[in-house]
Amino acid sequence: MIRLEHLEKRFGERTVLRDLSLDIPRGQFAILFGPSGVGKTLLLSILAGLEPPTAGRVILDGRDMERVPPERRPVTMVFQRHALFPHLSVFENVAFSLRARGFHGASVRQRVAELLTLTGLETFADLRPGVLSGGQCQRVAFARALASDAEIILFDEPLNSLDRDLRALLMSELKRLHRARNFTALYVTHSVKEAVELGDRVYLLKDGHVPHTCEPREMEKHICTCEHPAEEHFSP
Amino acid sequence: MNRLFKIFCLAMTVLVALFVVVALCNILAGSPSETIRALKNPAMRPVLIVSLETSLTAAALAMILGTPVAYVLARRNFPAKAVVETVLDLPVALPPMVAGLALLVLVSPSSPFGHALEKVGIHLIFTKAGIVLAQVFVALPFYIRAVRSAIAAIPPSIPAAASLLRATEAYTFFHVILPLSREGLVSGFVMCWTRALGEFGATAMVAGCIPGVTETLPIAIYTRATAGDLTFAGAAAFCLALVSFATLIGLRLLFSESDERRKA
Repeated sequence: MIRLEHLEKRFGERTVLRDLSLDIPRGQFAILFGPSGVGKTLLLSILAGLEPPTAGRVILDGRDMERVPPERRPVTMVFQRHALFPHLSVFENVAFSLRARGFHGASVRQRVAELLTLTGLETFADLRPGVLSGGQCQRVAFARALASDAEIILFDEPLNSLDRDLRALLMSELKRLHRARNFTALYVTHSVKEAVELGDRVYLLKDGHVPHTCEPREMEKHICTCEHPAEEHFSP
Repeated sequence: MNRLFKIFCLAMTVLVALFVVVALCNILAGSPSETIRALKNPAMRPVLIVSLETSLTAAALAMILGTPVAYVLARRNFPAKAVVETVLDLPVALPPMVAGLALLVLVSPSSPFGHALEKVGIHLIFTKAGIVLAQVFVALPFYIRAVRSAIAAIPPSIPAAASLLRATEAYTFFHVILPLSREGLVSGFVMCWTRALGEFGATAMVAGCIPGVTETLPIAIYTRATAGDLTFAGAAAFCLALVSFATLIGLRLLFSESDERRKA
């Protein structure tokens, strides 16, 4: 599970996150919803250990993450622009985390083959990311994240750069993967459609903290109270 | 006005290119047959061997020493980083003779450092090791610059993704950072090697000119030319120019190929 206690992040005089507390139970597909520039990606970076908080505590699976480096946290991340390793094939991208943890040979081959099948990438195993489409790259990113065996997967607007049809397809795939693997997900988006389709619970980030949480179908009511238009992608 | 400007730019390009070509054509002081004879001269062999041995060793050492430095400068922020960068760049701006004098004083047996080296049996004055020291000192910044730029060009999300896939910093360095900086490593090595191969001032100060022991190509050019043997000096200069030319062509080919790969 994810627990944040009185989290604060300042850059000089500017406070981006203030007194932010929330609890996300194990296995939940949580949506972090808010307009651009409100600190959603920053919050993911703090959770991942890529950025230290100015104050407050990050507790993941019951452990305080203070001074725990990213590679020792029970977290992985799917980036908006995939962040695939361009010099490695699809197979090696997915195998990366396994090899980094000391797995070799048949165990790696078997695990990667299983994940490539799960994400529909079997025929692309030997290709480099440079020749794949945006949707295929994002599937590789999903498979790679699952290979890390992290309890928590952070998604930083992973479908943002894709067209509408592909987004719909990948949303249903993501739901399927979540059902199959039951990881805890924190999914950043400013799309109402994605939040409603994917989320178990929505956490609305506004003015540096989370004033509301709600069921996805109740979102429009809360967005209205936040004075934001309830369109598919809302703007700040 | 516009037409005149275009003609002026074109004329300047032709003039500068001609100047370089004419100057380079005068490298060969003797006829081609005399140059070939000079290249076959038994005295040329040890000069070539010393030059290649020392410059390749210096480039390899620069690679070992410079890669972690370039990584730290590209990826980390720390207090006084600008001061460290300026200090590391200093040998580029420093006249080679000044660098040579500084190294000579540092490693001479009368200095505490030089005395300590002598005690453990390391002799740098008038030896090949001294040449390597001078070449590394002068050429290392070229390597660090090239590799640092290559590492800095990797998007920060790539190493971040590696660490979030359970890779330690060392694993990420060897499996992600180094492969993605391959072009920078190659061009840095080549630039460092050619700079080391052409090094004269610092080398002469530290290692002097002992024929067959510390006589490198640039030193041979100077000593033979001042002694009146222009044919030998021209042949040695031809070797250096050939290496520089081949290096430039090689790097251009390497980068144009990788540019095409990237576009594809």
